[in-house]
Amino acid sequence: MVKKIFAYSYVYLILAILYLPVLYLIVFSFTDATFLGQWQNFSFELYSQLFANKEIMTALGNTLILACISAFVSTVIGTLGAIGVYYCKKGIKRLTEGLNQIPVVNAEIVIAMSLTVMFVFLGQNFFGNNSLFSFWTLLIGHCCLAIPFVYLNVKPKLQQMDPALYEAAMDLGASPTKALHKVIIPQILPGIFSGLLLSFTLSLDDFIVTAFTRGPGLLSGQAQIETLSTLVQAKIKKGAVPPEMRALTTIIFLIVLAIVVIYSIRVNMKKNNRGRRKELKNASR
Amino acid sequence: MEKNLTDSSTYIIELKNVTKIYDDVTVIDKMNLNIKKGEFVTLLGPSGCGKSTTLRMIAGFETPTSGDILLNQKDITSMPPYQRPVNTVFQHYALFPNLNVYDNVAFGLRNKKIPVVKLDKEGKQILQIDKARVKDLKKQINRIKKDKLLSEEDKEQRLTILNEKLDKALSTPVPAYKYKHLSETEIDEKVVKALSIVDLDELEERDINTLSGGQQQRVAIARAIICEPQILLLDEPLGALDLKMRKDMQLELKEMHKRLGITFIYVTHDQEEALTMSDSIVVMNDGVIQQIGTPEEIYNEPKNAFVADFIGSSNIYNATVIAKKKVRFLNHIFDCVDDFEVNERVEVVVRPEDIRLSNEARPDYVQGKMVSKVFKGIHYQYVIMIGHDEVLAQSIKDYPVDQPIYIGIEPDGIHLMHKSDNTNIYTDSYIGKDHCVYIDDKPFSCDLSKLIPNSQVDEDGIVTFDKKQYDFKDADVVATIAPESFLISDDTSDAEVIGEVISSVYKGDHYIILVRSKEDEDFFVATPYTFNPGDIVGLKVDKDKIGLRLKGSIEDYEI
Repeated sequence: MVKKIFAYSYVYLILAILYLPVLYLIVFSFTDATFLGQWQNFSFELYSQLFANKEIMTALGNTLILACISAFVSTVIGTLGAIGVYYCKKGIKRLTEGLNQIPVVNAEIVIAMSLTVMFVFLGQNFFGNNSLFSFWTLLIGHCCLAIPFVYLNVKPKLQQMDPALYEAAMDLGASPTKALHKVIIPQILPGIFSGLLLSFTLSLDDFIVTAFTRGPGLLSGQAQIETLSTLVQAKIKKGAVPPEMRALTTIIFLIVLAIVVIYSIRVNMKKNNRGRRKELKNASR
Repeated sequence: MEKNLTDSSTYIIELKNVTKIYDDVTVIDKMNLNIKKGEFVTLLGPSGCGKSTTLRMIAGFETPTSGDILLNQKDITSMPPYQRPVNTVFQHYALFPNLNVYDNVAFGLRNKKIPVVKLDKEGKQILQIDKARVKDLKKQINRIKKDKLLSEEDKEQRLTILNEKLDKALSTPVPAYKYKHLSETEIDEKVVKALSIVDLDELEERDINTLSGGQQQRVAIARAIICEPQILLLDEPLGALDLKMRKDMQLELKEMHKRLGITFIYVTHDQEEALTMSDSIVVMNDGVIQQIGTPEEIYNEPKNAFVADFIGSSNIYNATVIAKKKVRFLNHIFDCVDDFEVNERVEVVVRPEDIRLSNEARPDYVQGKMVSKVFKGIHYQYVIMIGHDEVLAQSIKDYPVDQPIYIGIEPDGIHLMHKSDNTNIYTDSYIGKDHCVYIDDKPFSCDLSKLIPNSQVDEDGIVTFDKKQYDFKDADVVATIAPESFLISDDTSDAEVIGEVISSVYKGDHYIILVRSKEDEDFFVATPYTFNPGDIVGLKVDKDKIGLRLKGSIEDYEI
């Protein structure tokens, strides 16, 4: 009994350490006190300020546009790469898989630095001494970050699939492209979807690669592209975190929470369905 | 099948000199096979014999390294699988889990396109250059160019013909077609019909994962026959079913073949399945066709020891024809039906059910000793020893073990086969500096005096004969080794050659084993011990037992 209490309290303690700060943040987003830790009165002031703050709104817009595009591009490249490698000969397969592991465990700063060096070099030597840094370099940076993760999400789904499916589709008159999108893609869709989500979140909160590879563009116009992470960093350098950020992070947390809850409900529903079908099947026997 | 080779119009598919090499391993070796329209043909052989590869080449998943595949006399060797009028039932069904039963079956029809003649505004046919044909011809030309096994002359000749065809196709416009998909009502009609053929009428909406193995099997068949293929390929389709279901499905498939009139090509390693279902059987081993014939021919008149051993259980012995229609084996002279040349060394096959047993001595019966008895339900299976030879027999009568027994064989129960020459002959051997003979680039110590009769050899490898001396360094020779001369062992540490066991045939008191080295050289080995295909073994030969013959003139080596 005592053992049980200890075990449970340990779990709850860990969960509390994880979630208390978030709870704290949410509570303090509903007060208009400028200084952290002060409670003045309950208000939605921060939320209305947030939507009026052009700087934050631009950064948010930039972040979302970048995350959507880079997630899409990395998912397409990563998925096609995984399918290609899956049908490769063993030697090439092993080599690519090894090479894919390195960016995953590599320090982000290394990726960021090497990309910067490469862009500077290319700009100086091949583009008439112009600076290459723009939205495109930023996009490439984020894709470099996300593609290996997409690959790692899609690969297990391919391994679970019957390798003869592709041949079966071709046998029944489907061209290779048709076989790919009618048979292979539906089989690995869950992997592609989780790859997409992962690359989206990777891009959303990335700071290092963004800070190194960004240039002017997007909603920032002629100025350097500001994303949420770079904006917060810039603000901290000068003084306190702007109070509106509390409201913004609360909103982000709630959106992510909603996605996770919906996703797990759907997965559970599917499992239940399958269980019920199995019962039906056994009963019919 | 071989009789009407001249009349090729009855053949739906022809394989001509087809060779397939994977990573330097020859899986199919110069295979020639003709299959008649409407036949149920089974490719039968042990695993790894190349039967599945043959099927995959017909389906289009593999391209032959060399050779042609003709469908209705048209070259389809380089045609991709989705254009061939051939459908496959896969070993593990390969049903699409994301689609339900109905959509799985409809999949092929939804890809199908029906050609419609293209007309201009006045209703006249539009003439165009046939782009598909040009593309196909270009592919064929490319394939011939890349073929390394084809002789230069053949290559040139075929390229000229193809280039002529290409020029003709480029210069003569033909009526153009456009292609349209089938309508959903047409598809629906056909799907319902196909599902009723396989007795799955009520399961249209079911998810694939909820079906039993047998039902999945039926969906796979319906899916493959719905496009009305000219050939249905079946790759061990019953392997995943339990025994009773398999028997039912065998009969059902046979029935379906009759009803549909499509050519079936069936791959299996189960000889019983092959005998039950096929119109003709192609027995394969090691990438080579051993025999083609009806089930009766294959069973009753096997062409060689491999076929006899693989199909059913059988007794195989070395024998000698000692007089007209008289053959000696098991230390006894038997009458037989096959008329072979007198004094020819042959192999005989006797099926266990053709062996008569008796408790008491009778004329023309041979005495042996009953060694073991196994009850098999309908009959007993006995093993009898006659001298060193083992005899496998069947009888419904119960005989005691460890007692003398007499066996007799009716003349028509004895089938004679020309003896497969298992002597190992290596024509590209040579003598190395170390006075060894190099077979397959491996040194074997040998007796160089065998190159010249009655000669002597000293320890420097110099052969002396008639006061002349010869040095055979680097001489090309032909080496021969009898199968009995090899010592075979699991222990590969002091072996002269290490190789893999490819096949093994039991012949009364010994096995003939085919061992293949890494360098792809074959060695026939006789041994009383059992080795299984896939075993890695080492071979050794006593130096006196290697026969040597010099290629070229002896004067070249005089010193």
